[in-house]
Amino acid sequence: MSGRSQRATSRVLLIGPAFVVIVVLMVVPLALMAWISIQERDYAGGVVWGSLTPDAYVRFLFERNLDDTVSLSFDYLRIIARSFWLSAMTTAISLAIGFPTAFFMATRPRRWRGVLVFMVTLPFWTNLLVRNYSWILILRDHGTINGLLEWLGVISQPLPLLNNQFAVAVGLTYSFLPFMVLPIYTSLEKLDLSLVEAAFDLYAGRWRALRHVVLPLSLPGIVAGSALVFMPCLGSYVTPELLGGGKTLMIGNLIGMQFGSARNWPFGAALGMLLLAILLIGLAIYALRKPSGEEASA
Amino acid sequence: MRRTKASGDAKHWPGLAFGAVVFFAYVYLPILILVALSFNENRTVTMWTGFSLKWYAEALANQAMLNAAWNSLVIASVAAVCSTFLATLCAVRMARDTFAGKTAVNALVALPLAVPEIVPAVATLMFFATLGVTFGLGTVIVAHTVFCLPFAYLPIRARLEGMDARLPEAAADLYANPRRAFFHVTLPLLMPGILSGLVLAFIISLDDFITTFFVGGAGSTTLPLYIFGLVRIGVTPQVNAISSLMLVLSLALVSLSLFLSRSRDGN
Amino acid sequence: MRERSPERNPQENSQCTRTHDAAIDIRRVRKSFGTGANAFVALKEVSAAIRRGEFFTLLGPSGCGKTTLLRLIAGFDQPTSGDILLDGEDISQLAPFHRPVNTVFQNYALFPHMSVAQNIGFGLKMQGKSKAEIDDRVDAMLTLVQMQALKSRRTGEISGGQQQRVALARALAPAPKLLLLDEPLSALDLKLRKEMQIELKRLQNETGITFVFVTHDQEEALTMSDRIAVMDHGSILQIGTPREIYDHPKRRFVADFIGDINFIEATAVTDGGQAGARIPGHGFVRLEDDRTLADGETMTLAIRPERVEIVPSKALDHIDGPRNEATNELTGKLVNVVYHGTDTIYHFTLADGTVMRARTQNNRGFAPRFSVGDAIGWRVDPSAISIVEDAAA
Repeated sequence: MSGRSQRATSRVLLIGPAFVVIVVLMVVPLALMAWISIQERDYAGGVVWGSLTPDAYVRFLFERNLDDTVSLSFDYLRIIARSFWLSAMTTAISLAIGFPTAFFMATRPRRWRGVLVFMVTLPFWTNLLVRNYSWILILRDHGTINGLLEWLGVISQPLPLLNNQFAVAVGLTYSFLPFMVLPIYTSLEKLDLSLVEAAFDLYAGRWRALRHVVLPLSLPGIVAGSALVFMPCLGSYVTPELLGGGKTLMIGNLIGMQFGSARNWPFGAALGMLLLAILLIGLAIYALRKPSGEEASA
Repeated sequence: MRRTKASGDAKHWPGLAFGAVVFFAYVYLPILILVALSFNENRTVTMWTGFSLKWYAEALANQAMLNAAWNSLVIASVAAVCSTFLATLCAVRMARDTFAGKTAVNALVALPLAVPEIVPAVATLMFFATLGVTFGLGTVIVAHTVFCLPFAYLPIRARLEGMDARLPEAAADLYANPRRAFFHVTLPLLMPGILSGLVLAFIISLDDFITTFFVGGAGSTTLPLYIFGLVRIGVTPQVNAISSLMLVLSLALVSLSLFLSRSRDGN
Repeated sequence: MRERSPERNPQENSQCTRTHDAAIDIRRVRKSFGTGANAFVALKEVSAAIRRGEFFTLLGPSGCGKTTLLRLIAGFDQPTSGDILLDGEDISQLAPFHRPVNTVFQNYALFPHMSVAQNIGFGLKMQGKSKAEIDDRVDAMLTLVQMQALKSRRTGEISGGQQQRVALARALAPAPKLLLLDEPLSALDLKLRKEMQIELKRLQNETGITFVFVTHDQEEALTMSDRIAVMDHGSILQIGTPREIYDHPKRRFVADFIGDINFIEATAVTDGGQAGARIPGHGFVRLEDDRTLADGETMTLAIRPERVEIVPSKALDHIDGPRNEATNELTGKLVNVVYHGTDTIYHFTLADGTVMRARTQNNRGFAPRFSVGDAIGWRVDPSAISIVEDAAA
């Protein structure tokens, strides 16, 4: 069948280039990273090829002392735990702010919804660095908030708002909030409001209508939104760098350091593998929960 | 009176409007504060003393800034064109094809979206270093092309999916061979999606910090990297001005992209 | 001139004897999608011969295979097996852009980035016609569908009915041997649909082109077609003129799909050379159906409600057979009288509980002569009774 082989040829010519680019420049580097994560570190930078060792992963929990003994150390674990904690916090705050917003948008007249969606997406397309920088202006000692409070006479000493976990949480929420709002909005928009009216009709109050009708039906959106906020938070680099003041490190910064001052590629690669593993576990749970494959709107 | 209205109306819930106001204030106030302060004549940056454009003048006379901006433009232009070209070829075939592994290809194209950027950034760094490639504009452009791909791909794909599948069939029915059907019907209808993808890829590349930071080298400092460097040293009014310029540029481009993708043809 | 293979489909023996007139000859065409366990058979060995200049309709519910068959004729899909002959030439493996067949799509599929005139001229342009020739032909087509005034409009700027006309003009412009119409009127509102039905017939008369029309609307099929093929589950169940299809359905599905109908289970009686049927609890009715029947064979009778006449019951004890064999008069019990504006429908039950409907016109206003609960008589002309096959294809 010449038609068949012709189709196959054009498939290779059209899909092939993008496929090859992503495989060579994304999949292969990730595979290389996996390989490097089990190599021995070369103190001059790079790795000693072919020297298989779990050292990099051991470092998550243990520290190698000068005399080559190994002792328990929670330094890195603390950073990893903090990353999870901050990401979870950010996800929770985003949900708390994002859900009412999404619900508000979904209950507006149709002609307003497009404008609102545009307004939600707009900041996403602006520079992440610049958006985080704007919070330095607001949070620092002589920034907008402290300045305002001092001017009002509420405080005499500036509140320590910047360079701590609070600032990082604020910045992360700010960075990823649209990812929460949009999926929830997508599922709420499909929700037929007459279902809510039916619940009212059947003697459910607002709270119970929300709890038994709106929430269950928007659950796919909430799950997708939470995943879309949690994952990039966990791997964030810029926000803790700018707003954490070098004290509130997260996994992303730890990875970055291994390729800068610390020069420990295997450890950086191992941390990268940790993020990949979490992503894969999340995707697996999502796939198992929803065998039908509900679309994850990004 | 008010109570009866509120209790039976599924469209109005107490607190929703408040939540939305909090949300939009949270999202837009920092940006507005940044832009406002960039016009502040005062050096201390925080308190308003008067309107001035001098920080913009200073920024635009800053040669290092201009070099960085030029790099950003070069990288974003090349990466956007390359990724849009690859994405267009791929999307055109994917939209009208069924084959084993199609889902896998789709997942693969979306891969750069799913993984936190720091991971592919350092992976690419190790990859290039292992290959012995010299870091610079070239490595940045290549890396940007990869992560811009899904951003270029998605609007094109959306456009193709929104397009009536019967249109290419109608062309074939009216004696157009596949090549002519593509150039006379599919491509013109796809154009807004392609342009929209091009602009999105351009914005994403222009805004990128992490990948550029790790796979860049001598002579590949982009505007975000330059701003990062300044911010680490301290807050200056000039940074506000440069940042505001970046904001405005992004907003203008995203509006353009939206305008293109909403273009009337093919709806 | 051409060798013709003998008819292979018994369904068509009566209707398609003159195959040398066929514009399109569909021979044992099968179409399945997918392979192995997931294979879906959209068409099972369909055969039909469509005559030149005919308005031929494929009628059936959605999923019956009518659109699949149309797409095979157009060339968008290839048959799994079987041949499609256009004027005696096998076109089943020809690409759509090599077939002198044009299509009016369900939602018109007008090119949104082109003007009305550019749309109409597209086929001619692809055929490599000269600009002058295209312009002339486009003008002629615009005149034919009365769209001259809107020739430079974009297709998004004109109404649904106007789009319909442009789609017709576009498909007719290259003067195809065959025009395929895929539910072209389904997107229009009722009034416009009626107008376009007339318009379509006019265009067919003026151009003389063979039309193959796909619809699920039985009324549309009855009013417009020269012949109808009723389809279900990938098979053609019956091909015939609208009158044949309506008055003499051969399959239960055909009878049921078109119009309203009563079904009665009965056994065949061939006593004394007179074809008839015995209805349990009622006795004998005379039939005129020409089918040969075996004595005692069970069968299904189909009777249109408007052919059933309600009469006063004179003798309730008379259940052995109709008192008058010429009019097949039987008894029943009235259970409901439903007013329908132009008609009244009487629902009554037979001895075994089968509910029957009789439709009478309210020529003199609504004045039911019977009330619910009454014992009534009903009669039906032998010519109004069809024997239908129950089996699915």
